Amino acid sequence: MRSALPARRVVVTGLGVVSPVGIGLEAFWKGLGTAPENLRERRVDDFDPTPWLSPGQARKQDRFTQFAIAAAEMALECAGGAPDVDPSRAGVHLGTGIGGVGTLETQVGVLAARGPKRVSPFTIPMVMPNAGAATVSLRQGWRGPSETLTTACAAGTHSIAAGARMVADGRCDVVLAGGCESSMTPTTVAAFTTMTALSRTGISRPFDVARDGFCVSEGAAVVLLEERSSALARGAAVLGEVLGAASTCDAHHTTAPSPGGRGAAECMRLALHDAELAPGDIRHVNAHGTSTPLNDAAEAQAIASVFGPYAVPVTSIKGVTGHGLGAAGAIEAASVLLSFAHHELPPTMGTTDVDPAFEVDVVLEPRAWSPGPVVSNSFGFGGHNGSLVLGPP
Amino acid sequence: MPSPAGQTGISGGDRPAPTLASVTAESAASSSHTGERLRALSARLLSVPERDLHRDALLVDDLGLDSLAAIEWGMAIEDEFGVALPDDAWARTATYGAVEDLLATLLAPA
Repeated sequence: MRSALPARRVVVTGLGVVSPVGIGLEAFWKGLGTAPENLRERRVDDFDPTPWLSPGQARKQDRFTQFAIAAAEMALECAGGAPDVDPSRAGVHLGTGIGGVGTLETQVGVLAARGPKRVSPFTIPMVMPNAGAATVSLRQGWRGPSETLTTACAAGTHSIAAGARMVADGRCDVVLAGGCESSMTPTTVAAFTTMTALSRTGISRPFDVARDGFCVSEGAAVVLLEERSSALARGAAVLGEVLGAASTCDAHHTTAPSPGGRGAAECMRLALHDAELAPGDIRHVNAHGTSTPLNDAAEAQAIASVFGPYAVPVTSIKGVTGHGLGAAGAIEAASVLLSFAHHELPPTMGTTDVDPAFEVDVVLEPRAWSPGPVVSNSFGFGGHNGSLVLGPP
Repeated sequence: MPSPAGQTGISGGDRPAPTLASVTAESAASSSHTGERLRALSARLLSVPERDLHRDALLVDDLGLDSLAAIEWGMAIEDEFGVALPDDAWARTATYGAVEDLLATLLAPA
């Protein structure tokens, strides 16, 4: 990743995942290849915060923050414990699409039923979108930057990019970065439904000719990012490298992608430039692939225009995970990092008949693979585009 | 369930009419019951074991109370006992015993 300063390479040395298909790396990887139930709402049903939080602590954290804490602390555990670092040079960057809307919705009910004097005094610190980042910093005692950005469904990707830049630019030696989301409330699900974004069939089938919308989900993923030479010096196991990233905006429409996937294509090209790689160097694209008619058409055109027709294998794990909104990009980065370890590309579950209009090699079955640089895309309402270039260790 | 003719109120049923002695005994029992209810509610809200809730326990130093938790705890006491905690008196309490005393004062017949 380029920097104005002498180049500092950024590697991933820890990874934690909370997702509807599995909590922890082994369960998550297995879940990526397991056919899901056809559900429009895909929750992390088996999440129990008590390994990380006492019941009293959990009561004061919205579920999206509980996910963030769990994923961050799993990432540190994966790295063999928190590295011995200067706390003032240790940072956190966690994106979210909506933040603690579940807490807000509960308290709206309290207000209506019992009046303003019974609204919880913990409401604001639980609802605020930066609660995840703030709480992770607090629990580690890390006093470097602790930030949240919110770019709808691109937030997880943008936060990993922003966290990597904090290391590349020399501000931080270590950063926990990723995305966290738990916003499936009756109101948000109703709103996604009335705007016709959700699948009517409950089948998430990215790039399929019969795709009819996304299946909303929740979760979190966090990576531990470190400057490469110090990570190697302490004998850390490297899971991958952040080679480059880009962020653009369509400036076209609030919810519809720009025609022909122009914004997405430009974002991928800028990310390749940042990584100092050519399209031919890329060995896999982990697509945003939401299973909505418009997203998948625009993204397929963008991928074909950047890499050439059928030039690179493409997976969308949203066929099984559903769409984790602000967590999605981080969960997908986790999938890429595990592809490096397993030498395998996960399938695009749910998809059987790729739309014949798309000149894209959609991975439909687990595929043996020789690891190389990967582009991971996320696109959000507002026209936000994010692309990460991740490389194998 | 219909009350037998001639009886009113929520106690109803087969209970004997109250006497002065039984009222006094009930009041003592209810005072101890208040203590138990406060203890259970406080242990839950403050996430501490009930055995830590002794009269000399300092709310901040011993029980880990912070400003938001104090507000939430006060709301819960008001709801549980049907009282209104005066803001200044609530803010002045420093020990668990002082909270018990404040509640007893508020529950005492005028």
